[in-house]
Amino acid sequence: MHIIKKIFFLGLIFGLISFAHAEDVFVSAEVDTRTVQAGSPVLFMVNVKGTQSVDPVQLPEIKGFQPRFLGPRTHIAIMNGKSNSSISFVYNLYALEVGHFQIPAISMTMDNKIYTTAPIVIEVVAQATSNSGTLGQENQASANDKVFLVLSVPTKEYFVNEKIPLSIRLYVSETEHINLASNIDFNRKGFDIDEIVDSKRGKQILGSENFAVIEFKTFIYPQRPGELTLGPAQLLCKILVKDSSQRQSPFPDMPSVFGDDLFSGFFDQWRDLIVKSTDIAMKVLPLPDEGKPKNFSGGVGKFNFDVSVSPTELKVGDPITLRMKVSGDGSLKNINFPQLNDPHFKFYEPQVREADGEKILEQVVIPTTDEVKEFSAVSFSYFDPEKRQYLTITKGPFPLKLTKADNPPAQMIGGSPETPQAAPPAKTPEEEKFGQGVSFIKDNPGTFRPVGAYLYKNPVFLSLVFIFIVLWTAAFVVYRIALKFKTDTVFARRFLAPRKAKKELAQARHQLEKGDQKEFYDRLSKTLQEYFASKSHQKSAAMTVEASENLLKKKGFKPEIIIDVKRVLEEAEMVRFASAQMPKEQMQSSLLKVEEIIDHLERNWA
Amino acid sequence: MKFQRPIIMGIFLFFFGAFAGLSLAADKISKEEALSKFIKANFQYKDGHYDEAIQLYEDILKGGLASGPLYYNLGNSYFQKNVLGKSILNYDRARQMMPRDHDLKANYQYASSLVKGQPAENTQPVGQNFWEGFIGSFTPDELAFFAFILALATGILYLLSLYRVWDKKLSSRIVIPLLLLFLVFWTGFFSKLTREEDLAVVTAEAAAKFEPREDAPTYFDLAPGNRIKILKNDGVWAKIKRLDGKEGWVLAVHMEKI
Repeated sequence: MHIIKKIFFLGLIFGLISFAHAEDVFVSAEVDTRTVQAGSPVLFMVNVKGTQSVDPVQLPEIKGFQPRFLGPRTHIAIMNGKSNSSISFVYNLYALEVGHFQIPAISMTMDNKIYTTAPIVIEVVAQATSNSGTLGQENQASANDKVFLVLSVPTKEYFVNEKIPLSIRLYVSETEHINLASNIDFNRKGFDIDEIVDSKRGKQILGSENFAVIEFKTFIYPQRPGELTLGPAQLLCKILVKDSSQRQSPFPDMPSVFGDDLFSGFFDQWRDLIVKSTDIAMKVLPLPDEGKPKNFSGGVGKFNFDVSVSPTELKVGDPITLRMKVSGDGSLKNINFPQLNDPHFKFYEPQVREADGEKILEQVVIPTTDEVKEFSAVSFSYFDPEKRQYLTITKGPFPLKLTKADNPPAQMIGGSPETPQAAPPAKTPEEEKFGQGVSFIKDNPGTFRPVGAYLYKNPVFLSLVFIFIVLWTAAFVVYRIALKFKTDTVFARRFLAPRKAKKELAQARHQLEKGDQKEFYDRLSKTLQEYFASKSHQKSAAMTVEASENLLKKKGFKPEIIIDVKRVLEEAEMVRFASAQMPKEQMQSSLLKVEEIIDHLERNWA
Repeated sequence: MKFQRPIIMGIFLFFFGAFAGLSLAADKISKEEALSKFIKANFQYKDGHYDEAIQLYEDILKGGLASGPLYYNLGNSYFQKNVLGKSILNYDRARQMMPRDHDLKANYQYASSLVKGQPAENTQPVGQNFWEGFIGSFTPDELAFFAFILALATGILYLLSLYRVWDKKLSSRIVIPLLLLFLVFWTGFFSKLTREEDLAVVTAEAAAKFEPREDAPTYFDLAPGNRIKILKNDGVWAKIKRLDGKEGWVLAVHMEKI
């Protein structure tokens, strides 16, 4: 609206300008300040009074400053039919270094006349430590008188967990314009705090100055006894810093249109301002031990306590809804509901919720016997800080009318009273009720079988199991033996040695019957050699007479056996290599001897 | 071959004898007669003549034949006569033969709920409840049969893999689950036998004494329908254990084994 208003008046001014009379021209230069911090701008204006038909001034190079043209400002005033117009060319001259610098005289030519301004000396000082965009310390201190924050509580002494109203008031002088840029923050160590709400806005006169007041309210709860400090609180605001040129108008004698400068606010800037309060020291007292009830809930304040039990007419095993409600003035957060313990009831896990300044417990309770006539009274104890004493509110007992259950409770709900489970769904009035009785008899008798006859006692079944076990074991053993023969050649040779010898001796007997003496002794010699080789896991060619003799000696056989072996082998060598002739009886005797030797060795080989 | 013939004959005679012995020992009544009595008993029941129905059902049992539905119907008949102990006893017997029957489950639960002074069984872990639920849903015969079949399959597959008829990796993937399944059923079978061995139901009100004497002080009372475990028999007395673990001496006539 402000901009529209300005556009409207500008249009009006341009409309009226044609009716204005000509006047004398006057040129001047001015600055908003003669002292400036390095890096900050000086507002420099070249004012032309008496005409507006003039081009912007081209500034010469100014030592120590960097100029920046901001634009022209025009003024028109009509008084008693006489016009009064002017134009200002506005520049920001940014100070580049510390020292004294002169803005030189500015010359302008209008209607072949030269107009010159006076030179201006500016002092540039060192930059202040405050951050750019925030108020300097001096300005901050000045602003703190205009904008300030006040923390307040009713008294300075409280009990632990007591609900304390906290007021935070922001005072803003009516001469200042601010916007809140953050939430209120303060040191709250040792306190629990509710949400801060912006509750009230008003005005207050302090000294001779009018202040706008914004009041924020909340509740705090001290968490431990002792000396606690709350605050300081602080708040970040944006404060409007007016353009200094408006404080020193270039046309002090020129009345503004309707008392309002068309360009007011054009150069205003919003700066950060941190508003900080002082802190509050508090003494927090512990809750007294004297008179403290055993079932103290932890509540500090003034509370109401209400208990309801429903339904009161029911069957054993049906659920009762127990409802406890605590409301009042105090912290609900720390309140614990009384623990109930009654052997006549089964208590399920309670549901606790907090809403709208009330803390509500709902618990399903199931009576386990019809002997119980009432639900015991429930007591709630809290500490009243105003009266400085513990108070107890008792509700109940609640009379109950119980009838026997259709089914015992154990059949309906699993678990034991010691291990509460999730609450069963409460019965709705619409829930269908079923009758109880036994299902009808079976028409089909099924398969008749002898009383006490079981498959696992049936001999056929047991025999099948037995046969399976035997067959499986046999197959497994065969596999293991085959595997042993396959993988253990020492074992295999030793194990097969007597069988092989038996076969060789059968061949030898055949040669004996044929009368082939050489072949017979060959077989006989081979039988013994191969037997010894298999038993000792050596090559049969290595089993000479001496080697065989040494092997048997090593194995600890009797000398008679060794002599017999030696004799048979020597006899065989004589026939095979010396072509000696042996009678058939001798051959038969040798064959029997070898059979005896192998039999003996087989039984005694270690 | 001379020696193989007598072995085969022996095996044949063993099996024949086993079957013959069983049928001779058990079948005092033929299955046709049993069926006839069963149908008659059902008619008596439907007409509300529960005593007659009980008599006919009991005749079949005395004849040496039984079935799940027979025990179930007998349980129903006793229930209708308000003989709770006998009713639960017969339901329990029926459960051993048809444990997954819904009617039976419902009737058994309802009848059990009417038993006076039934002590709560000691709280068991969830795993044990699951296990008991599992074995409770099979008859001992079913557990034994499944265990045998699984053992057979496991054993054969294992041998096949040993003899390299089957790929070893493939067979091990089947053999291991089969073996585990076999162990489950095998353990279940033995667990069921152990648990249900010597279980009994109280058929008449009885006092459990501290000692097996009439004049001994009473420890606790037993109501018809209470399930108990018989620990020891001593003449007319039996040492029993209740579900809650309490033990006492009761006259054996007041109970019947399931």
